[in-house]
Amino acid sequence: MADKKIRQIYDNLYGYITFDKEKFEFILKDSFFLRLHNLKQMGLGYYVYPDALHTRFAHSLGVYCNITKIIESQKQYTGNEIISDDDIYKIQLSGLLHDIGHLPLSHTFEEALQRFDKYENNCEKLDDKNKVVASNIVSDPDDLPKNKSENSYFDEPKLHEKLGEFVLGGSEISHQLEKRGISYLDIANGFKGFGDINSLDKPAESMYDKQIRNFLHSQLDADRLDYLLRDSGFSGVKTGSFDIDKLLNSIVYDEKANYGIDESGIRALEQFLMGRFVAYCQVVANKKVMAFEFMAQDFYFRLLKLRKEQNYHLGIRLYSYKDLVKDVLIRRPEEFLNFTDDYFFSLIREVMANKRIMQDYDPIVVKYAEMITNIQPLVPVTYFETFYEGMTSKNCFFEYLFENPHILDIISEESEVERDHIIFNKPFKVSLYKNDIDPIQIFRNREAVYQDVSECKASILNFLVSREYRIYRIYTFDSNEAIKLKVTLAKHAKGFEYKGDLKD
Amino acid sequence: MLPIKALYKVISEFVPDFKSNYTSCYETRLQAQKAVYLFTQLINDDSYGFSWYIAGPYSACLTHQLYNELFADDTNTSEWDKLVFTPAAQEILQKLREMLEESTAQNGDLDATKRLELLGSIWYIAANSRAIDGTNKIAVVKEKLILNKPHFRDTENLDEIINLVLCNIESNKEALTNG
Repeated sequence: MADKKIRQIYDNLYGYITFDKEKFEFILKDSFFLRLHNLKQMGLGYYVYPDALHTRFAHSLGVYCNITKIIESQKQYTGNEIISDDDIYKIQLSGLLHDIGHLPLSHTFEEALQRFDKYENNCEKLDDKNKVVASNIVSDPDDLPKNKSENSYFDEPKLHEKLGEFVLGGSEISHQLEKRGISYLDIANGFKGFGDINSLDKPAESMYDKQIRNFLHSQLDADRLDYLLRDSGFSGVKTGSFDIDKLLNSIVYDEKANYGIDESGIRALEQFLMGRFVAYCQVVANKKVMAFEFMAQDFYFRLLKLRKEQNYHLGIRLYSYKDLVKDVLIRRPEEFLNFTDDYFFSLIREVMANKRIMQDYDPIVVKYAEMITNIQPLVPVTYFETFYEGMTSKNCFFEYLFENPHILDIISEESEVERDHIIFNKPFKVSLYKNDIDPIQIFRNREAVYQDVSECKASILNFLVSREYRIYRIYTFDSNEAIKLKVTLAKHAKGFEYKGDLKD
Repeated sequence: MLPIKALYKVISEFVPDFKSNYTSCYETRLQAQKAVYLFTQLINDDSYGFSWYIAGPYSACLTHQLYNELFADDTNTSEWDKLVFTPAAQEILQKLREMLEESTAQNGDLDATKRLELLGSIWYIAANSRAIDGTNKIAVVKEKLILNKPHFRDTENLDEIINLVLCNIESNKEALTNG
């Protein structure tokens, strides 16, 4: 009996997703791709939403599925193919492989590695001979290196996307792609999404560059469409849901690779953007989800820091971004296969097993390990949520704390809560819709009638464009500390217009 | 990241009229990116987070630094031009100059942009590929290079230029190991 030419995988959201074996089987069977089975899409989110156990593997298939459906739906508008078969294949590959570089607990470890990278770069300026050369290139004592600005990471491809390039390079997938005449770097470029940034710096954009950017890095990209629906479905937060069929059927790509939505799909678009907004506020910014995320992130960061500062080595190897890129993925790529959610829990177990020794090195690490083992989040002290309206350090207490972090030292002293126990992270921000960098056009019979949906007076987005929601949270380790801290914070917040629930 | 004055001086060393042409000329920007990539490789500085883009190694961080610090309204570079390189920096710059000169000796047809693009791309591909077998290293790098950059397919003495970069990578590794 002849082998089947297609492979079908049953997905909870879309039913059967079909793959041409010749084109995709080498990926579906590859151990680096299968590794995604062991990365939960929402990290430790299932500690709060018990059924949020879905994985990066299922999500990757979903992104491929959405790309394929959008391409298919274009036929109703044109009858002709607007994207060549070769380019369709490359877009599908980029979609399927876009999360191949994801880290344990998804974005949680990404944050830890970024933080450590920044910290390490600062240290190396002082202790590495070659860095001394770098910072003494010209004979000028005033010429000191600056740290990466807070914004620089925002504008760069995400760390897991950059890492994805190296994961592909270290895997058999790159050889298989090259056999098919496709460069893995080209596929990585697709999912890194350089195209949506640096407009000042990039070369003239080809049709393909624009298409792939819109498919994978726009406000209506196949990635968002899948993860929002999947996160909403599996977490059970129904407010995040939307009409995926209507939306996929309404997305339009014109001959110049501009993208947007047919006017009949405006309500589905509104529902999608509202759903995204609500899901971020309700799930990602949930007080417990944020607490667990911070704990896991800080736990790993502190372990990396211990290794660097005190040369303390656990029985399990730790990986920084540099370790992964400069060593593991070039010399022993198969080691990366174990860098999954299980790896995180092995570290927790390792710390628990070496509790006494670890206590002397960093008691906070032990605290995190215990709390995560007992599924016990940090304790919220206070929070402030708002739509951003010109808050500054003069009128908003939380902005003031950001600009003056030494105030937290004073608060620590006054409240008698250790400084390390006051956890105040950057605010969580989300916009309903951004029209400044990536407008969604509205089409009628495939002619653009609005360059941006927010120009359409009949759309609710007309009122809500570019409004940014922010939430600031302060946590600590136990409820006694929380009470003491809140009283002290309230004292310092006197006179500020915006101070959340910190009453006089 | 390099301090801005040093960065300015390094780029100016390899990209003529860099400051006046940067914002208007894509080729100048490309040259600047590749020159900084090669320089930072020689000093083993990964802080720019270079990654592959259409024309080879590219750093969004570098772009931001240049726009934010060099092209800020109040930046005056005339005093910076008078600064001199430290002996350690001179040594590194000399290595880079030699690599460029030797590649010119192998192939004089490439213009400055293509030369930096080629050298930067070879370095990136060779340094970031999964361990390549010693005997056919040049062929493997060449195959990968041409797949990504078919316009270099017919470059004269391409094997020699690849070999030149591979030798530089090796000697740099040794130099860094020996401090």
